Amino acid sequence: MSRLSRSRRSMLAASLVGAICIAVGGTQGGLATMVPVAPPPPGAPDQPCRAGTGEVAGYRLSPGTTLAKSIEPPLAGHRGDPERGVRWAVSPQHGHCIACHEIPLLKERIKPDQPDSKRRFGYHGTVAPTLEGVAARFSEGELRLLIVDPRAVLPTAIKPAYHSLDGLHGVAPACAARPVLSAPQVEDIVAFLKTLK
Amino acid sequence: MLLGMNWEKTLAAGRRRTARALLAVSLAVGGPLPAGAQDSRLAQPVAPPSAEHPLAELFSGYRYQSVPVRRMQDHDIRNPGMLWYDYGAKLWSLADGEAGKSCADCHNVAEKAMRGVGARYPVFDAAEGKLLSLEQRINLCRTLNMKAPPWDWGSDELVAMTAYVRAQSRGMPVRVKIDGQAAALFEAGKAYYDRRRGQLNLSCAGCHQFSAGKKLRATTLSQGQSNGFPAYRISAERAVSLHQQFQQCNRRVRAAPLALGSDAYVNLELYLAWRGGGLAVETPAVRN
Repeated sequence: MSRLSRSRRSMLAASLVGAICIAVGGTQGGLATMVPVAPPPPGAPDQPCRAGTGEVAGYRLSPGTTLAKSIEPPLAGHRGDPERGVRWAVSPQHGHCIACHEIPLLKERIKPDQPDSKRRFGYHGTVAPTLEGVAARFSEGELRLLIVDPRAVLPTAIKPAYHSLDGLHGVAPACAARPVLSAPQVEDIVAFLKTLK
Repeated sequence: MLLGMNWEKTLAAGRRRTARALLAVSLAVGGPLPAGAQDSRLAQPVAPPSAEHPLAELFSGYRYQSVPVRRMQDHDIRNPGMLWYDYGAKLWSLADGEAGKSCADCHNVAEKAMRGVGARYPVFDAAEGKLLSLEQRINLCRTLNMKAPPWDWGSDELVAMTAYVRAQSRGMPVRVKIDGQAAALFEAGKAYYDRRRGQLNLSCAGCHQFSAGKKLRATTLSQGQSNGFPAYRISAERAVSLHQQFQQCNRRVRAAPLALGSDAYVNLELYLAWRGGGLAVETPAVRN
């Protein structure tokens, strides 16, 4: 190859470029080798509507202070864990609060030596108001109501009802008769929101 | 040093013809260099088709894509959706069915015969007595005229042929009829669009009308327009038909998806086409 003349090398290079372009562009043909995207296997971990018993805890509405209503006692007497609450807040299969809300405090959890932390805590939506200082604006009971069924105080808001089955339509069979969050998960998120002063 | 050649010496030695020929080959195959005015036109707002419209101005999904994704759509050689377009072009000339005909035997050249068709579907077919999407019209041709079995809705063949036919209207404004016998079906499509559904209790309007331009986690919500479908979805790694997109949207709000080609989806398709009236057909669009 090194003994080829300059013009021969030019022609070889030109035909190489052309061959590569044809190979990349592809020839016309069927798409029989296209593999369809498979749905996730049933029962896989962290699939929505797979966790918990699916029961809806009973609750009673009380008057609120900032909002018209609130839910005072914790659902089914559960004691919330704020650290688990963070997990439900960022997980797309659970509450996924940061799909719509910014939670600035979570950005402190992004660490360079934890590659997954940027993915988990670094992205948030802007559909809904920020949750910074939300514990200073609303009581614990009001925070609970805003998660369980915000329709009671915000009838036109886009926000889902995370612990209610009332008025739902066309629910996927896997999620039928199950609230988005279980009662313990609601309490975990309430416990976490209470730290956002 | 590229390909073992010293280019400066090549040019200096007077082999300019070789260098220019190689440059011409690479430009011809790679497509024209992107023109700023040309590829930003699709991101511009369009006035809605009537005063009574839920949106103040219309934006194609193109507007909400990043620049690298727009670049993929801007040039056919980079657009993965064109693989389906090419497959559709091949199927156009392939005889299929007991009548031994191909599409070309009746319709001749697609660029002429199909121009404008994709911009006005879905259409109420008086003979059939129902609203037809483009996929259903193609399958009707296959069963009635070609005596060939209809293609499955999710099959590459039907997506490819739909993309090929619709792409012949590329650049033309979407314009559908919603009067006469289509009127009631249009209203049914609108009702579907506005209704909350699924475990997450969200409607199409909640995201695509009231929250368009805002972010949902890391994605910017679009207006949910249909002018680019069948579109190449990067997240699905394939071209998808509009009804497959409807099913995906249903799953996202944890609602039960309907069957591909169901009446409810065709009605919704009519509503969406009206809602995007005036946007240019971009099939095959590239979307994330």
